[in-house]
Amino acid sequence: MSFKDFVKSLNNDKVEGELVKTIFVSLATSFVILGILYFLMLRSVENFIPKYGFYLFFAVLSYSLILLSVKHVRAYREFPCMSGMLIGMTIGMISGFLPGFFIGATNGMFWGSVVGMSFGILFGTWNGKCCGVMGAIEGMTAGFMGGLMGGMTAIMMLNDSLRAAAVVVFMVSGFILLGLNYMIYTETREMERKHKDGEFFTIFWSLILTIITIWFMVFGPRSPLFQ
Amino acid sequence: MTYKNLFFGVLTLAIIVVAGIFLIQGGNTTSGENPSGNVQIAKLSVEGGRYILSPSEFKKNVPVRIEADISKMPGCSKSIVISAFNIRKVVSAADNLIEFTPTKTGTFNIACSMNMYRGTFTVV
Repeated sequence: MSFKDFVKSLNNDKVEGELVKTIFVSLATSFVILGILYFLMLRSVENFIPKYGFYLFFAVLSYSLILLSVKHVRAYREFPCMSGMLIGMTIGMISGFLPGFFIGATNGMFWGSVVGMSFGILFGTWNGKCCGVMGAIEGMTAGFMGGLMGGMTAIMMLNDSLRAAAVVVFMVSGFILLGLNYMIYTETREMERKHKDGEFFTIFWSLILTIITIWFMVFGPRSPLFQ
Repeated sequence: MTYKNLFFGVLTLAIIVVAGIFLIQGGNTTSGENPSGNVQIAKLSVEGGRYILSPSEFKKNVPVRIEADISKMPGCSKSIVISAFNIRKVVSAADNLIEFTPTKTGTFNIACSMNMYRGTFTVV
């Protein structure tokens, strides 16, 4: 079960074969709603694209990768303790860090941390409970830490290369999530699929996450530094 | 199945490229404008965890040049943000000037990038 096998499995008709489609559905949903909102109201916001476009773009890409991992975990539902803890920690940390970073870059450290922690704790606990209370607490803790770190890192990078850091942070997180998907693949070769989420799951969560992010960035409360 | 996933893969890349072109535009961070003609000069230092600007009142539409006293600015206080005028700059001994033109009146915040050191100035 090498990484090459995992890449090949992205073309099969099992769980892994649906992952590419999940990314596509998530991105399409998020960008369609972003496009609709832009033409309805956001284009009247002064400097909307220069101020928020870059961070919204990477936030949407991040959500597609996070939902991909969430869907992969939910397909098998039950994992050994150690795997479940790693799943909770990875998803909690990254789904806290990335939104925290992007919202921290536009709204300040407090609101970036609050939103990051909320997303991180929600997804970390939800996915970590695949192995019971240990994974759930691991996910909760990682979400808390990731959200705080995301908001803090964005503010500390403000006078440095914030945009370059956003790209680096996104790429590193993407590789880590890809590694998590590979781990789930190797851990589940002997297991039967236990649950199937339709595309509605991806569409629903993409919509929720994208709309919350847009609202926070454009209309949400800001730290004094950004007023 | 191979062609189906290839199709979704290509579509995904296309979405990323199109959205990226639309959403990613040049950054909006600047470090001030070059003044010409009259210039309002102010000294900036840190006392008791606060930024002290002397003088702390400027005229609207007249360029301002803030000269930072590096010897009185510890740690992250050198990383200065005046968000109202889109100023973000790390001052150093080699470059201790912050230049901008205040285009609106009111009381504005000056802070370090971590919002630990703070101060205000007024534009009339």
